[in-house]
Amino acid sequence: MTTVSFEKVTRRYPGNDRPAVDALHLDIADGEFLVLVGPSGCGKSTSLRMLAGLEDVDDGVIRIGDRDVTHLPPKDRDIAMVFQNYALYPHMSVGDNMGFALKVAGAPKDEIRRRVQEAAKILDLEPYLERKPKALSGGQRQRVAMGRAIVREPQVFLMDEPLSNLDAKLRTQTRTQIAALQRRLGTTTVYVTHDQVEAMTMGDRVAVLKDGLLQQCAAPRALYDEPANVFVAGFIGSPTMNLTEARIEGDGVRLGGTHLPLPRSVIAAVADEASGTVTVGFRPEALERVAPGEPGLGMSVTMVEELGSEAYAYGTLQGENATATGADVVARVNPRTPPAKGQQITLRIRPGGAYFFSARTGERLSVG
Amino acid sequence: MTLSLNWRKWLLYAGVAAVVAYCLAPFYWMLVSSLRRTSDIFENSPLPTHLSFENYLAVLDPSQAFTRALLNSIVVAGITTVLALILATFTAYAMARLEFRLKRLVLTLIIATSMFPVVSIVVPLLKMFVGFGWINTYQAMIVPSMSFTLPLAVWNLTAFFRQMPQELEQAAMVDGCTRGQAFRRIIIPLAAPGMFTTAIITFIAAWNEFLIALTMTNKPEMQTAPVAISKFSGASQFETPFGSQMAAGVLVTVPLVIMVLLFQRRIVAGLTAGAAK
Amino acid sequence: MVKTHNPPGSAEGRHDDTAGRVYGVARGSARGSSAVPPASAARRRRKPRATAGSGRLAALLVSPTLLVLTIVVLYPTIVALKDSLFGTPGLNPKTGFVNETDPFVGAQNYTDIFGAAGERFWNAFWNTSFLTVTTVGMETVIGVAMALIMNRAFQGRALVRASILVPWAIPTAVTGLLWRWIFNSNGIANALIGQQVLWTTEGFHAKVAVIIADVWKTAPFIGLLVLAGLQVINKEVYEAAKIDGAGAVRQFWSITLPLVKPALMVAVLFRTLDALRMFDLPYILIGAQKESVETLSMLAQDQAANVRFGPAAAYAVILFLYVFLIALAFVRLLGANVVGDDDAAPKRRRRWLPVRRPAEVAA
Repeated sequence: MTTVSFEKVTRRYPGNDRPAVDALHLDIADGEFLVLVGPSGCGKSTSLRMLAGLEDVDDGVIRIGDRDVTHLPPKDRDIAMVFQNYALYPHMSVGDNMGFALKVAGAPKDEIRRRVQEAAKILDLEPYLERKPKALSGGQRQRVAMGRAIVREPQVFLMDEPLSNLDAKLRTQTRTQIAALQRRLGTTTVYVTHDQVEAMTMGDRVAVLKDGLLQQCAAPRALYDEPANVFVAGFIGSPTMNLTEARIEGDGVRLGGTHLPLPRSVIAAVADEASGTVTVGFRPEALERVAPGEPGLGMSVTMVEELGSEAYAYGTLQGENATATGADVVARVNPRTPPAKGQQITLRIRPGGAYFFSARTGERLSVG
Repeated sequence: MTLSLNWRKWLLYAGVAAVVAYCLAPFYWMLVSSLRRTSDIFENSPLPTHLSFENYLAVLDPSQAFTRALLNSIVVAGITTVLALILATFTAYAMARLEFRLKRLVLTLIIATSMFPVVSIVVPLLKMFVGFGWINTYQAMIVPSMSFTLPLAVWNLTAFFRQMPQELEQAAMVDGCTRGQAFRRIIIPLAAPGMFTTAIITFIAAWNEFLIALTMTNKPEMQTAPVAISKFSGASQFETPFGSQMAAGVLVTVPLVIMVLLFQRRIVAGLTAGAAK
Repeated sequence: MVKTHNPPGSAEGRHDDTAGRVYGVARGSARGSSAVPPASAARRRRKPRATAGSGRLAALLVSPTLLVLTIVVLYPTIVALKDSLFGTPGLNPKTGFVNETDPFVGAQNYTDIFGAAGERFWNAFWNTSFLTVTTVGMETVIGVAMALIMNRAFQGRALVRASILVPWAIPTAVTGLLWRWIFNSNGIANALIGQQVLWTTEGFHAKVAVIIADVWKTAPFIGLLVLAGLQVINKEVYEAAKIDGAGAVRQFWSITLPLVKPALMVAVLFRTLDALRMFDLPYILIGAQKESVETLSMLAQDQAANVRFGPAAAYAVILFLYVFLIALAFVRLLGANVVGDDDAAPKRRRRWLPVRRPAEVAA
């Protein structure tokens, strides 16, 4: 059973007042594909490197299986890592690159050859075994980096943004390949990326980090449907969720020229907040157009993006209320009948499509 | 982990200290020896017991003609450097930017010529210069010096020009310059640091030169500093003036050391530009 | 698994070329060609029209240098070759005066080295070779050690860098004098080791003195060049090695050394050629015509100083051939890459069998 756990793991860099990773607490199940995602500087790479043994741990315990590996050197942890820039040994052939770890461990030559051939077959690298890295394309190098990891048959795979150096098309292709490979091998994998699309499509669970703090760790659908706070809500999903701070008026908020009623639990939760506002969130796909006269949010369209299967209208919300006018908003519209630039349209949030967050803490306020 | 980390750090510090000591100790000894009185010269204490400048006074004494030797060195090394730099700049530009057949061959040849033993060049040139009446002249020392300074300058500057992005001249040419104008207005100003570094390295190599100066001159007033120092004579025939030699050595070296200290970053970058490809 | 259709060496692949080296125009223009490292510019058949005439310009720019080098280097070398075929003027039996012109003796100067006069030659040859091997060997080891230390050290980098340059900046003649003083029988060297060695007299100790002085002067220089080579190595490669289980020693042998080999080879090549031509140090440190340390350069110069131009030229030519052969060996056999392109490294034997046999072909 190869589980991985971070128990209140902290990393502080001298000279910075904020820790790079702050009391990270995470449990990863055996065979799980866990993605660490977040903007740059959020501590995801640092966390991965602490797991790898390439960074010191200032506080807390890291376990692989039942072993406390917090202060063990990388070679004693039985892990393999794929680096963002691949870190292939430039002077060795592809075959030698993949077999290096086994050679260091003293494995017999035919064993090394067998395992390297196997990995090369899985990754379609057999024709390139003799080549040096500089004679390979980016995608091939990436596969060699993966091959180097699989040959080791480790307990845990660590991947540090392995797809960021590939072009978009190759990225989508390779993404599915990596996910399929992991499923086939069944090895526990910790994967770091800044791209939320990768996170959502590849992970069994996704851990969102910001400024060294874990925001939420859940399955992709849960992150999408039930974001824990404003940050997660705005980070997950593309195009991002529309988030506006709206003034509370009685039992609802003023938004887009209309009065949007608030659920009672929400009103109660923000009753004692001084600001008198609440952050309202709704996804572009939760909006639907209604006929011009009907009640709804007024939007002035500035631009329409037509993607073929979908279309998105970008614009600003209408309304006289100070805080809720002029807010940028994105709405998904019918690709067959998109609105025109400059057109005023009216939108309605589908039932259940509205999220409410505390304007002060950013936490999501539960409905009902 | 912390225990081995500290141990490693101290080992590193010790290593660094060893390297610095290795490099500077003899130089320090030269300095200290030059400041001893002649009578104390064989004292081997770390600091002079009696500080004295008499060695420097002896060296700079007109009868030694040492200042003249310094001047000769400056002239010879200076002119050699200027000439080498001019020729090398054009060649290096061609090597780094232009395409032509035999480019690799030419570069190899140029670098190869710096590997010819100086003695192989000096012997025939000596005969030739005797015929021209050029013995004891500056040109007799400058011309052969080109044999190693020119390839050195070409190699250095080529590596340096290669590092500059192509887009600069291309942008200039799109803006209407010819290649020559782009070279003059854009490249030269930007290459100034590199050329400066090459100049320093070339100057030091030329200043350092001994064999050619030794062979081409037999009159003391035309000798360069390294040759002059090696021929220092003392008060009596049997007494080698070690103190004066050390003082002269310091005088010859200190300007170079100062130059090196001031421009160390540049010099290191220049020396290693060719190596770290 | 879906095959990637990008041909190796395509533009996309070139993007993440590690170390971002710029090899001049040749590499950039080879996009889209095969995965084997692009051929040098000389092999391109067609020149684009916008740069037509660059051949002429190049000739214009390069010829002054070539001209000077021909005059200063090639011509004297040929003259040396010619001179070596002449002997020293002897007595003219008819006039009783010394002949003015040198007699043509053919290859006699060369064959003489196998005869009686040859003893001095072979001594010089041995000295030269011995000194070269020992100094270069020691300098390389010490230089690499210095480079490794400097690479790791973060503090005091400027101090170390400046110190390293001091031995290089001191003129060799001054170095010779300095060490001559240090090795004086009453000097600091004897004081430190507590012996009374007469370093600057004939004997093996003279060689040791020269070796120590030379190694002191040039080990830092090698250290500098190797350091530059070390600094280009991608740090992540070491991290990957750590994860692959390599300890410090293993990392040095399998990663550092192979990757630093190009820079090291160039440094060792230059130093070897310099050492073969050694003149200044032994001349000043020990003295002229001293059997223990006389090098080929010193021998040739001594002959020239005694107006025996024929033998002097012959020795100079032999030295030249010696240097040339060693340089050739370095470039061809060891792959020293002075000019800066990719084709120089010798081919390695294949260790991973190509999958061509039917039994091994994947479905």
